[in-house]
Amino acid sequence: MKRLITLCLALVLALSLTACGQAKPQSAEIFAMDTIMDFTVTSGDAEPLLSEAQKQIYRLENLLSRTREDSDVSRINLGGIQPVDVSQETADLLQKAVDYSALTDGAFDVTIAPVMSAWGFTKDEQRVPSQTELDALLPTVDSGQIILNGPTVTLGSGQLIDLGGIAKGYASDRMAALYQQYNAAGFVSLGGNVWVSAAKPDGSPWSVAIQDPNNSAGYLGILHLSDTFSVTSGGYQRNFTQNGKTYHHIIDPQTGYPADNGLISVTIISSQSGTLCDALSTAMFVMGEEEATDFWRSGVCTFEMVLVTDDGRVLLTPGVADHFESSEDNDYVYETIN
Amino acid sequence: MSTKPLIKLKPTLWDGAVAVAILALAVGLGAFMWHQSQTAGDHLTCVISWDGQVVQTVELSKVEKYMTVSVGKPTVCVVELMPNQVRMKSSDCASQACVHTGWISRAGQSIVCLPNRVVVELTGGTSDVDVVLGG
Repeated sequence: MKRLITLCLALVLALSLTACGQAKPQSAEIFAMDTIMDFTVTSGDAEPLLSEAQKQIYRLENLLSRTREDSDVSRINLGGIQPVDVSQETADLLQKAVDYSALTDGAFDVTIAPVMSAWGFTKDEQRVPSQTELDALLPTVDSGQIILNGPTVTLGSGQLIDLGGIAKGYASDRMAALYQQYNAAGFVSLGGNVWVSAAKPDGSPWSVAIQDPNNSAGYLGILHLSDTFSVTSGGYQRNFTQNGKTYHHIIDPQTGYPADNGLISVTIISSQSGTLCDALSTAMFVMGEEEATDFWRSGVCTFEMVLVTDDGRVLLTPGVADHFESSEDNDYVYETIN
Repeated sequence: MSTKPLIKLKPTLWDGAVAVAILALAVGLGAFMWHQSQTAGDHLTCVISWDGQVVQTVELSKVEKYMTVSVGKPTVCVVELMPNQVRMKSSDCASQACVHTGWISRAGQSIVCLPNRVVVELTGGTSDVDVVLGG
């Protein structure tokens, strides 16, 4: 009898151990802001967090989307040169966009919207606009003409705005705050705008791979990050070909043409702000290697970056070089910017 | 107070049998759980979803040479699978961005056709990448 009891107790003990081990990460995936968004929770109360995260994303989409008729952005765009009252949240984000435009000397500019439309990127009906069309539109590309007064926005004549180059980064900031509010760990990828929480359940940093711009099946390398935002922009991501020439979606606000300054991929990393990463990933791509490295050296903004040039080099800022593990299956020459 | 000996010091065969049973249970369960955790992510798998619903899951090692999966009724996208890579073979979308993505071969990589809401994702395998930037 004692032996039977002992055996039963041992059985209960052994079986109770099956409850140990890591809980499976919980994930959700939605379509929003004209892209795909993934949320993963590795610890913390996943269900309410994922539900709230999706609610927040849809809320931001309704506020900031250029293609939603009653969004703040659409109302601004329909306002002509009249002042338009929007939410303070939208006004604040627009102010940030205007600031980034000034800081980057116009390399990032949300008033590029009419030019984006001329190229058909807004409605997924790509075409090459004529030089005449672009000449008429380029004078409206100037964030300096926007007047912001509290929640009131006034555009300059002929201007339209598109917050597509900064909205996902801003959303990733909101997601980071939400995960922290729920005391959760995990990561999000909002159309490629990534945020990873402080640490994986085993305490190690997250492995964030950078897509090889020249090989869809490969990686440039892997970043080991924690509590960090990162964004990669590149011409290879969205482009179309017409009459044998390829045109990508990162338009240079100065020329009205896809930026052609020697870079094929830009990754920006910051522990402070996803909004910054999003805006600068576009700006540095437009600037090209020399201006981008000068900008980084100036210290005007604090960030790390990985640039891939069209002549096969991968340039890393020192702060990220230590956290980057290059992939062996490519022929890039890796250099540290100093 | 009882004068009977409190502990029977000499082990019997039944004691041995219980001990062996406990040991076997511990080792067996342990091995089973370890095996589960090891093999859970072993096979590179292609997950194809349409408008948020998984329409097909294919373990790439089970693809003999080549196969295609049509998504939608009528078909909106065709996914092409090989034992070690997948791509969007065709799509009825205007921009063809999904087709232009090309082949993907690593867990964590994905191809998305936004207009059709079709997602082709690779999971599992021996990759330790958590998330992919710029893919």
